[in-house]
Formats: sequence, structure tokens, C-alpha cells
Amino acid sequence: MFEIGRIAHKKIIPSHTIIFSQGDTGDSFYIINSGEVRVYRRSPEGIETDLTVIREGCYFGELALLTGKPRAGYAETTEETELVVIPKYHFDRILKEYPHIASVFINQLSSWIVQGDIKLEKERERQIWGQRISVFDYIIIIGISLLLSIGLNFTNPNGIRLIPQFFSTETVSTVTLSYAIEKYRKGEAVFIDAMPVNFYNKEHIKGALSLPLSLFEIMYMLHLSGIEKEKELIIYGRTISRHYDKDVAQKLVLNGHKNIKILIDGLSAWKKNGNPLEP
Amino acid sequence: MEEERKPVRTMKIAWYYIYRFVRSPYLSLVLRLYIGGIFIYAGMSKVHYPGEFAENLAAYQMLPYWAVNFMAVILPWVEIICGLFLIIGLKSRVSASIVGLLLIVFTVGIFINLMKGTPISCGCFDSIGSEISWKDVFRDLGWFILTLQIFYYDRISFLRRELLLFKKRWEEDISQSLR
Repeated sequence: MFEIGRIAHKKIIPSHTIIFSQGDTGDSFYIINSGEVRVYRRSPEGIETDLTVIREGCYFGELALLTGKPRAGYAETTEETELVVIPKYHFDRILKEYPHIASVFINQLSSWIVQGDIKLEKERERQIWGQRISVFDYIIIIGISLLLSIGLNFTNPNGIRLIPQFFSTETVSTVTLSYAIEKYRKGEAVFIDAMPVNFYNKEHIKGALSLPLSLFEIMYMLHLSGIEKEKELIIYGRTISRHYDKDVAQKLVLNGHKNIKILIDGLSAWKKNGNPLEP
Repeated sequence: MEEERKPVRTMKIAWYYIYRFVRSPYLSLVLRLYIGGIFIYAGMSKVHYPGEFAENLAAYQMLPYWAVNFMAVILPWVEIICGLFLIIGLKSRVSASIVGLLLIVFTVGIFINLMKGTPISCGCFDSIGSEISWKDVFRDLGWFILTLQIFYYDRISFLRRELLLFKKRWEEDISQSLR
């Protein structure tokens, strides 16, 4: 080591001074006696990427000397720094004469390669994770929709009940098909179709009145306002999605009708037994 | 010999470009804007009148009566949120899969009702629509295929996806601090 003292010279560099620039020819090797040096790359667009910060007792500038290529980055002091400068000629000579020093550099360089590979792997992992789909994502999207929809349904003037309303069916009883057929034959009851108009227009029990919820007031005025309240009304019209018959029955109860029956199976059972249909 | 092989070569080149076009992330981007726009529009047209949409849903006779109103309220919002996420590229693959699933459900619903001959309107965009037809089935199937393209080949995001991996980054930070 005493030889280094002979061939090297000391140099004091003020703070924030560039020691060498990216693309310069490598002519010396540096050891830091005191101070701090930042090593970074700068892309053509001017984006700076910090590579490392080198402190007291460590060295830098060996890469360009080993590869024989231009400097791979900038070296800039962050404070006043005292450097030991070894020119390229002597650096090459030392490597030849002291192989164990060369092996130190080889170790350093190979650990850098491994670190670079790990960084690449991390980057790749992030890309893959960015593409990946988890149940959590579905929960978030459905959750946001749930919150917004339920929250805004409350404030929406056109908002609706989320769960259908159940009303007491004390005044309304259900009847069997045979009972309904008997009444139909005798003409003792008024049959009411509670399905929406387009369903009614397609097919309904012959002679049944159309009384859909959406047009309840008008249709009621037209067909049922003159009828006495004790007259038996048989309502049908139910799908898996809507109990139209119940809803209409409730409205009729509110209008004061006393004798309301619901034909649960409705049109499908009526059709099976070959009873009269319209149109 | 040369003249026979020439059209084969042109075909190969044409196939190569078609292959690249179909798998292109830029195509995904365009499709995302298209499908996203459609779904936002569809959701917005229904979101103000849940009552009418509920009647439309009920007419399909596919949902149990206790779920109809609930679905009528939430479905437009799922459409809007998925459409929005598709356009801004936030979790766009998840959104594409939800949209694709919805389209399949719609297609099945329309198909079944066409077979049964139920006289109902589509309810897809407006509450007062024309009656369902085979056109609606093929339109929804077409859109479903587009969502598949988005699901498999979408790569472009206006937002950096890795920035949204909060959990992953947190784990990395911890492992780094322990080293």
C-alpha cells in the first residue's frame, strides 16, 4: 500500500462539483479520504437516476478503467471532498502486480450484476401483479356500486323500495282453480287481469278486465267504479318476479272492495284445463 | 412455381397482420372507450327511473320477486362504474370481466324470452324501448366478444397500475427495512 502513496496524489474538491461526466474517457481511479460523492446517470431527456452515494474510505471510477469504455455516469461531490487520485496507467499496473486487488473488483462487479437482476425481477413482478385479478377487485367495484346506488336511491325523488312490501292478506283469500271455473261458468265473479298491458293483449282469460298497476286509476274508473263493493272479484296475474295480483288486490282493498280473491296459479293452470281464452 | 406460391405468401402476411391487430393493446384501448361509453350511457339512462327499470326487469321473469327492485337499483350503477373504470383504465380487466358477465346474462335473458315469446321491451337503454328481437341477442354477443379482447390483451393504462399495488409496495418496504 505504500506504493499507492507514492504514485497517487491528493486533491481537494469543493462541494457540488462534477468530478467526471457520463461519456468522458476514464483516466483515473478515485478513493475518498473525506467527504461524499454522488454517482448518477442522466438520460438524453435529462432524467437523472441516482446509482449510489460513496462515502469516506470507499472508491469509485474503476468501471471505465476496467471496461475501457467511456464513463457510465456522473460523479459529483455533495460536500467538500478530499480524493486520492490514481491515474489509469498506475491502476492497470497495480491490477497486474497485485491479483488479490483485482479479485476485490471482480467480487464487487459480480455482486452488482446480481443486484441488477434482482431489480429486474422486482420490476417484472410488479408488471405481472398489475395485470393480475383478485377477488378483492370485484368486491371493490361491486361495493362502490352498492354504496352509490343505495345511497342515491334514498335521495332520488323517483327512488323505490329495495325489498318488496308485504301487506296483510286478511281481507284477501286465495281460491283454487276449480272454484274459479265454477264461478266463471255461473258468471258470479268479475275476473281481473293484473298483468301489464302487453301481457294482457297477448293472452288473457276470456272476459277478464285489464287492471295493471301502472294504469290502475284510469282502468278502475272505466270498468269498476260502478260495481258494488260486495261483488266478488277474482284477480290473477303473477310471475316469478312480480306478484301483480297481490299489488292490485291491495289497491282494490283500499278502494273499499270487500270480496276479493286471488287465483294463484292464474293463466297457466287456466290454459292447461282448456278454459276459454282471449284473444 | 413462383406464381403459385405468391398468393400463399400474401395470405401469410395478411394473417400475420390480422393476428397482430386482434391482439393489439391499442385495439383494447379503443374498445375500452367504446364499451365504456356504451355502458355509461346505458347506466345513466336507467339510473334516474329505478321504478320503470324494475318493471322492465320483472317482465323478463328471471329474478325472484324479492330481488327485482334491488337489482333495478344496483345494476345501472354497476354499469356506470364499470364503464367509467374501462375508460380511465382503472382495473380495466376486472371491469371488462364484469361487463362481459352482464352481457352474457342479458343475452341469455333475451334469448329465453324470445323463445317463450314474451311480449317485452329490451329495457337495455331506455325504459320505453321496442320489443326484444334477435338483433339484441347478436348485438350483446358482439359486445361480449369485444370484452374478451379487452380482458386478454389490454395493457395500456392512463394510470400507472403498479402505483396502485399498495399492499405489495408495503411488503417490499418492510422486507427492505428488515434487511
